Amino acid sequence: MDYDDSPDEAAFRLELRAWLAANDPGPAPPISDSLAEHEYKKRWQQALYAGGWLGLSWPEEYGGRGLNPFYEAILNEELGAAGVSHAAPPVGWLGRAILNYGTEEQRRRHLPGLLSGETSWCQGFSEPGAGSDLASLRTFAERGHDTYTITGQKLWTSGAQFADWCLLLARTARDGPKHQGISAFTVRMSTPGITVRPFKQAWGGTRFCEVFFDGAEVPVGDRVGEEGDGWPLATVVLAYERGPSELGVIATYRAELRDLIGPSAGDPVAEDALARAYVAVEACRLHLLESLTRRVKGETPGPGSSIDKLLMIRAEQALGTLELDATAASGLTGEDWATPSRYLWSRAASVYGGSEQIQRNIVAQRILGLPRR
Amino acid sequence: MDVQFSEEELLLHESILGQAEKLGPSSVAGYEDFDDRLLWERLAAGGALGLGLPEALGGAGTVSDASIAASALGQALAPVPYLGCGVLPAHLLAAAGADPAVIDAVISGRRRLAVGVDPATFEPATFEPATGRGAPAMGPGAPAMAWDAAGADGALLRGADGGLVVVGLDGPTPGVDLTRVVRRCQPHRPIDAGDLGGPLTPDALRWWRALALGLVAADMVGVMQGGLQLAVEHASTREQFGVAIGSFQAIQHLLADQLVSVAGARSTAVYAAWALQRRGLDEAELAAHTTKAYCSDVGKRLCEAVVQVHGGMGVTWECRAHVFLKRMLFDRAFLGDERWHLRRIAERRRTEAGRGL
Repeated sequence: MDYDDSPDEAAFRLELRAWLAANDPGPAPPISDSLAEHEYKKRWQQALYAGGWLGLSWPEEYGGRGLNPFYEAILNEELGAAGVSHAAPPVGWLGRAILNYGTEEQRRRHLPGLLSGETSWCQGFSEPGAGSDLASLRTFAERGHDTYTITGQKLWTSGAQFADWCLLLARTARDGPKHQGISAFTVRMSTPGITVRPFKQAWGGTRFCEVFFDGAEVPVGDRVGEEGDGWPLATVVLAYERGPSELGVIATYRAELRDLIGPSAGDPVAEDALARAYVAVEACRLHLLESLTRRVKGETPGPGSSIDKLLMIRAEQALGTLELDATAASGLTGEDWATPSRYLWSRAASVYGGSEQIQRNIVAQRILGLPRR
Repeated sequence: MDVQFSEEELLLHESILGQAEKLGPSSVAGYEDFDDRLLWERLAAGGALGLGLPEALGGAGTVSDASIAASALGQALAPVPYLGCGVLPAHLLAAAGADPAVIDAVISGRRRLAVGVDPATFEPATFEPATGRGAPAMGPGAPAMAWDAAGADGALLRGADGGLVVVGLDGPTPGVDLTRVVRRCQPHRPIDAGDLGGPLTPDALRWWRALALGLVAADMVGVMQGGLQLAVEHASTREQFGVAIGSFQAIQHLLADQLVSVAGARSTAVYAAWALQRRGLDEAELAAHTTKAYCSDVGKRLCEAVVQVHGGMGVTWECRAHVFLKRMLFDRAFLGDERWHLRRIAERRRTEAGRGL
């Protein structure tokens, strides 16, 4: 049991801190301006990459540094502590799918650009009829001679309007068990037959999109893994999405907790609610460090990442509500739009990446072993 | 960074849990006149009462080990005063520089001394004349109470010079917890207990209180773990409408939420124990407040869920569900519930923010 940095980790942290102090990306744009947000994140990703801070745990041959995942946790902690946006989170989990399931050629083609920010990616998983029940997806990839023809609709595809590539799940078998007929593809977003329609969110931005595939042709060589490997690939991506990658968010929470001390000072009710949120964030942070240790020791993320996610939801929503309460009136009058946006975004935390209810099902059935119906 | 229990730590947990299950009561009724001596002797013989103390004083292991032992005993609902008459007085005596023979008597299990706790600060109380009639039972102005003091023949208080003294205790009366007792100190009745060392420094008192909080939180983690396990077993076997009730989503989600609570609680308690020996006093104290606040809050709700899942049986002597809840209520009040600790956290953080930390 050791929560301290090793000497190498400590040296890395100091070097990173110095770099961050000299390379402040400036304040992030409001989440209600999705284009500005995208450009800001892209610039920041490119700066981090140029500094050598991305892909820390990726193999060196694909542009990474071959370090253990603790270094990524340190990166995320320090980014949050410095009050800057964490680095393009999808890079980690989409990259993981290509690393684990892609061919050598696919890794060499996609990973460096994904990492450096030269290419932007989106994740085409959910559909109108396949949200929590992802395996019911119906987008179909019809096998031709040397292409697949994709037809269907995706939903909640974050950043699709800015993406160059999409990691797509589509059905390749019409019959048989629904989990087995799914395959994964890398699809160029400029392919004819793809239409993207961003839609406006409650907090004002257009982070999410619908993506329509109307006979888009994808080369057979752009399939990731074998036909039918799509479901295990998706499971890996979602587990990575839920787990210790949240550590960057935790660092942001800690900064927000500090910012709320002043406004709540002298009001015991507000102070106690803030202390309660502090405690919830600590429980989440400390638990994520345990999950991270298991990952460093080679364990593939499994149902335990649902516990990480559920602890994260508790912390995130406690904070969102605190911030709302601290400035309720100015939100209602429209003087302050950022705070209600922050609160509204916190409500999405219990939906994205698998809803809170799905996480509870996973915990109940796969960890506690309660009987399925 | 390496945040994982070692093989040795897992074995320690298994061994203490095994002993407590084997030598503890086998039914709820068994708690009523339980003779704890055999289990107490086994724990002492295995070195559990001196965990975290220096080897020169007969101790072994780390504070983390003591935390693991406390969790195992909580999980088994063990009716032994491991914290109140074992590790906590042993560490307090060591902090005061007491005669090693006195410490040895405690950690070898030969002499049970409790610690009289000030009901306002939750530090060892000061030795004062009896508060007189009409004093409140708890809170500021109440007499010092010795928590988890079964079988103790005296309690440690702080004397006029800031060093330790021993006073008598009122006899135990049955409280809500079937597994441990709280007893009133008799400040007018000093007892000679040998050389108890010198004055305790303010930092030593703060460290001891943080230790006590961290270990009570560890007990709570064990209670949560044991209670949840009982509820899961029941939900997996109890049938209604022709199926196990654990197949209903209402039950599954209730219990899944409790597992999330145990996971968070354990993480805070494990860190608090580690921080006591590896981080500075300020950080260790904040971690102790944090885990005590978190465990008190989610622990009570978890035990209520355990009772709920058991239906009517949960509140009868046929079932241990309410024994978990009652031990949790004891732990929650022991050294301050979540409201008290949240207040301390808020004050601490406000002060630190004011200093620009």
